[in-house]
Amino acid sequence: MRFLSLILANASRGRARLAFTLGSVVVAFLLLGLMLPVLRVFDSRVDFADANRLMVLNKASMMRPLPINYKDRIAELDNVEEVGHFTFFGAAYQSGSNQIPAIVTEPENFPVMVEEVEFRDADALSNWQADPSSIAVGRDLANKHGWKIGDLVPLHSSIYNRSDGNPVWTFRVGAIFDGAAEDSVTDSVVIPYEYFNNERIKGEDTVGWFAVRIADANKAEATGKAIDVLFENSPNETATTTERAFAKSFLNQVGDFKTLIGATLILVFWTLILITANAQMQSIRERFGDFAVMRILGFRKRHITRIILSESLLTMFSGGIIGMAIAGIAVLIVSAKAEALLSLLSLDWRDWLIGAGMMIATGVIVATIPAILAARQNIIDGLAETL
Amino acid sequence: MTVHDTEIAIQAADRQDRPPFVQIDRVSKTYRKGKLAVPVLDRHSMIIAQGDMVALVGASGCGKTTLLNLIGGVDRPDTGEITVDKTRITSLSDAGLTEWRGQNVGFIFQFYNLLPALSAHANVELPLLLHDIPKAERRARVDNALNLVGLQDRASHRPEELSGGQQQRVAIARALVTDADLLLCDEPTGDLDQDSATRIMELLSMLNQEFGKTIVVVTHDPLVAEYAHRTEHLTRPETAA
Repeated sequence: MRFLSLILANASRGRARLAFTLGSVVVAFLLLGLMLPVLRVFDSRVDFADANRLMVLNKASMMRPLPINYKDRIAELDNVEEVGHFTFFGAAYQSGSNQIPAIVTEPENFPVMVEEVEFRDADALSNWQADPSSIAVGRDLANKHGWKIGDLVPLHSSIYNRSDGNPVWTFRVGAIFDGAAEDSVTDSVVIPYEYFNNERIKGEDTVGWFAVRIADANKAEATGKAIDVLFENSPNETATTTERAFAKSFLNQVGDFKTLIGATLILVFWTLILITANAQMQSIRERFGDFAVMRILGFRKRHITRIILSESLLTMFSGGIIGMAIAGIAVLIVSAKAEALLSLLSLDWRDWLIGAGMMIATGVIVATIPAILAARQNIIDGLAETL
Repeated sequence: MTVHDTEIAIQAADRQDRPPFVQIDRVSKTYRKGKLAVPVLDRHSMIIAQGDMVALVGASGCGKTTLLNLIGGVDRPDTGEITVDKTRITSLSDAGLTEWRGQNVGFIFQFYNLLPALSAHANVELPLLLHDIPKAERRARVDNALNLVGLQDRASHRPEELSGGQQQRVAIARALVTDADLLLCDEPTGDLDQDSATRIMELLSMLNQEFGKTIVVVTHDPLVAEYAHRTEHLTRPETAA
């Protein structure tokens, strides 16, 4: 702290250079602040997926349904604890562009099958389970549209028409659920299967896929194989996998985001280090004379090293915090306007922690060579620089 | 003999009675320029008494600045011993020498060597940052030093906003602020006009007489040397290939 005024005064010495250096630091940390939440969102989708839950899909295509009577046959297999089923509803609210994640399932075992959600109001849960034409709505979605329990909500299905040919289904909000974890997704609607199945015009007694909760995750592969064998050579053969493997393979289809983003960040920071180190070296080189005078006045090499390191860290933290703050605002705006996955983006304390770590690491790397050069500088030679 | 001459003679006799403050004992220093060895000091010895003011004069390259740097612990001799105020500085480690320099020696350079980014106040405060001195006391000591050199109203000015003479007075304040007993001045008036040079030498002379500072001045200027109690003539040793 004693050297703070000295460090600040030195920082203001080359204002144009400082502005350019700070600019590059801001951009680098802006990118970091934008990329980290994206990485985490994709990661969270994999983490969210459960290794103890198997997904049983139609082998021909995940878009083709499976007969509901598979459920009882799967339930009889070893290692199977619970079987649920899900069907995409393809919902939109008010306009076709306002799509809402909506699935059809059995309300009775939904809280058991999907542990990631939580019904805090037990009465509401009972009412929803008792009323076949009511839906359960995630807290985020209810807040977004101002829905309350008892409200009637018309949803347009792009996949299923009602028996009278109408694609608009009107449901009563029976319950509102929350996420079990802080960052759980609660932007979806859950529709009771029985009502849906009775009312739809086609596809009676079929489901999109089965979710199978198993007792021992180590036997997941064997159980999955047993399920597929069970329906081998039938008109609807199955392909069973764990949810986690499914989530990963889904992301792999989109591309190896993590590698791509990681490589981008490495390149950005490598460039940042080169630019900043060059500016720092130039600044230190210009001040060899000053450092020689300071050494004569009694400053030790470690004092000089500390000053150079502090200057470097000050630059990184000033630019880094500005960059991350801008990223935070940008992420807020994007998540507020975006739908689905991108709506989950947020720059949280973990990102700030990584950012702070990167600021320290980059600051130290950038300061190392100038600090060594300044410490090795002979005082007499340094004084000659002032002539 | 005038009264003034008598006074000077009495002072000289008085200084001879004082203990030696700086003892230089057969000090040699040779610089190397490629394969060429350039000796600048060859077994040079001298004694400077406490409160003395000595001018080091001689032709360019005769080792005046080198000797000043050796006395101040900025450089080390190849051979020989230097003792300042009973501390054998040639035996100190690098870190020890740096610490000793910060506490015991004030340096004044020809080109002032103020840090351009700092105000006059901050420049003078610089050596005090190394010590655990409360901010209020640091401020008081800096104000005193600037007051002594007559620059209290220029405290917030940066070096570029000051004249050469004013910059040199800031440098003198910086040398005084730690209350060092030894002031080493390398051509302190070399970059100044005659009036400014006179003011600087009168200031140094006052510091010597009123505050008892021991001062060593390197100079080419005979007028500057006149302010000293005695003059040490240095000659250049033979260059050996």
